[in-house]
Amino acid sequence: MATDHISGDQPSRTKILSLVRSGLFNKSMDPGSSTAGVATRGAPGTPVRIDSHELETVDLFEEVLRDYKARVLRVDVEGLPDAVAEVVSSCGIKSLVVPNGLDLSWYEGVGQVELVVDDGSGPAVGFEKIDGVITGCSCAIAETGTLVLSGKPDEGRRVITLLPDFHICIVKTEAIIRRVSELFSRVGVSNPVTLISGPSATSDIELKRVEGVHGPRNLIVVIVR
Amino acid sequence: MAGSRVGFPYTSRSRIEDSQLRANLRSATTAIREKRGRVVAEKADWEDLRLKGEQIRREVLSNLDSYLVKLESSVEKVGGVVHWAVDASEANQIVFSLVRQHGESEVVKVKSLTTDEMGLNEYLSQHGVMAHETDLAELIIQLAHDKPSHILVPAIHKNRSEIRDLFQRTISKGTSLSDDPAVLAEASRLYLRQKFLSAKIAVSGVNFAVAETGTICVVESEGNGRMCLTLPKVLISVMGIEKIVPTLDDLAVFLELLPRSSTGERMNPYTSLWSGVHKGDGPEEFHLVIMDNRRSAVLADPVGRQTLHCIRCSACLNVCPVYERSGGHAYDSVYPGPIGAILSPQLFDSESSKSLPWASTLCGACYEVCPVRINIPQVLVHLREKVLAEGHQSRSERFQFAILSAVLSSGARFDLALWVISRLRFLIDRFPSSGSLPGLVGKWTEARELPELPKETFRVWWRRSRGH
Repeated sequence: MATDHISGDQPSRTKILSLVRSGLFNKSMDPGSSTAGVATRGAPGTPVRIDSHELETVDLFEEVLRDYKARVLRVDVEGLPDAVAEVVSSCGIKSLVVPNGLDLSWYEGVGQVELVVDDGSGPAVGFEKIDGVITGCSCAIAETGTLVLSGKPDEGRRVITLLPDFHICIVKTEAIIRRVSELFSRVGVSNPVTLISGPSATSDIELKRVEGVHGPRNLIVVIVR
Repeated sequence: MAGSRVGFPYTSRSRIEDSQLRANLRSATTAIREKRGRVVAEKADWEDLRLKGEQIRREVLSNLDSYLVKLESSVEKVGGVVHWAVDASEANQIVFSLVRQHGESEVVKVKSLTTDEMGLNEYLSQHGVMAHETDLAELIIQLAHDKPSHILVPAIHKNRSEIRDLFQRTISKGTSLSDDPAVLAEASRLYLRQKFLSAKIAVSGVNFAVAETGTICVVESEGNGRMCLTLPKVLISVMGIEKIVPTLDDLAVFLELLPRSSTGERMNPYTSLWSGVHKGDGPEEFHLVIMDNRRSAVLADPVGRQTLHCIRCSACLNVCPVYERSGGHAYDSVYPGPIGAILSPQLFDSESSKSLPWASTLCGACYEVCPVRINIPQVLVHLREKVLAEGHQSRSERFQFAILSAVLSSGARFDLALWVISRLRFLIDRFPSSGSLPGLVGKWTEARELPELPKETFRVWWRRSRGH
């Protein structure tokens, strides 16, 4: 990369790059200079152990999520609509937004609820008045209890999972990976990516953890076999 | 620097005498240390991860020019605009002129040390733009006109009742709050939600920028970051030149290292990744400001360079015996603690930062916990040498160290010195053990008791009993 392309002809750009290059003149202490990344993709590594026993991936995922004070349900495909309906009614959710790519059969049992199906085209306003959101996810990471949203049709745009107070996320077991290093073999970055690990939280006051500040204060994860 | 009114020895004095502050700090750092210890112990390959993290940071820094150019072209390819700032004042001007172009007088901000380093909020406010901090702790600091005292938990020095009183005076005027942290968090939620929904421009820092894809990563807990990164029409992110990772898979390494080191969580609640502008989702305009502000000079120092490995996790603060007693304000810098003690003197040309390399016992705990293996004690010693070489040493100190060096570098001279001291025992014995020695050495006895001198030295005893 010896030639720089001329970008907006900014004098500060030229100055910074030349300062950096003169700083790098002293290369004596540094090893080789390949421009390739260092990390290897999907390296399995050694699995995490919690309480010194190894857990199956799905069990590990569930345990870590519970640690974050998320509510976790495990159902089979047939039981999914009932489970979703039960969560919606037990949380007192009166209005719902779902991305238009979400499988209709997943939420057909929710009953008397004001429903907004978002196709992502309209202006992003009014979602703060909606109680809950149901989405799928691109993948989930067991070791860290992480849900990965990447703007797929059943996940929708970012704002719908941000403003409502209840987020119900449906995770298929085959979407659960073990650790973070496998993440980018599953998910690309052409859309915005959001990693969600438990409900919004803060520990800013006397380091006491409080669940729920600005993002959804309630996270409900439904794991589907 | 004796008797000086700036510098760590002066600024830390009143703090270590504040027993409430010390109790707050002790309980906070102890709690976070334990949490970190637990989640790090879970990862059997933690040391491999640290090595990988270090290797990636080293690779980036040793080819930083290429990575910067690559990042620039990747960001432009996905619809972002890249700006370059040689120093803090240029970065401030860039941000302000973008705000002015859009005719706005308010911005919302995600907690960012880089913008604190620039003094962005002050600069904007001088030019009629109000920057609203949205992280709970940063909001507390801003409302109290205070300064952060910890990288991660900036309001670590404030307790809940102080915060309750502050909120009742400011954002929750006219309402009565309890001092329950959940109630206080709710008060900030109510106050900030309106700001998020009406803001047109957001300013953020950058945790990592991926050169290969132009993807920017911000990690956070509360969701205020997601609000700022998603709702406003214009997003301005500011980064130091060193914040680059080559690929997404390299980023994954730091997503494992950072939360466990920082908050002691397996993962922070929210991590946002975006690549330029995404049609129909989030800001319509994205600006990336890349700032040097003397980092290139740090790069030029072969020992100091590793300071730029830092990913701002703050693990070193929580294990440091000096930080635990003095607190962050004593460092008089945006960057406190062990990392601040090596970063501040290299980035800032202030007199106070020159004292920071001595704000350490060189115990090495910071090196042990550092997720990217910055050898902080090595850099501390290196910077001590540098500061002294610049002439920041009194004549009498130089004289005493010259004598010490002469004595300690020869066996015969050392023996002679011990003999002289043993002859002078009668003088030293007259000193009460709690008394203080005269002159510069008196500083040593200020906080320590003078030990009783033994009847004979070890070397004499050895020769007498075993040597022959």
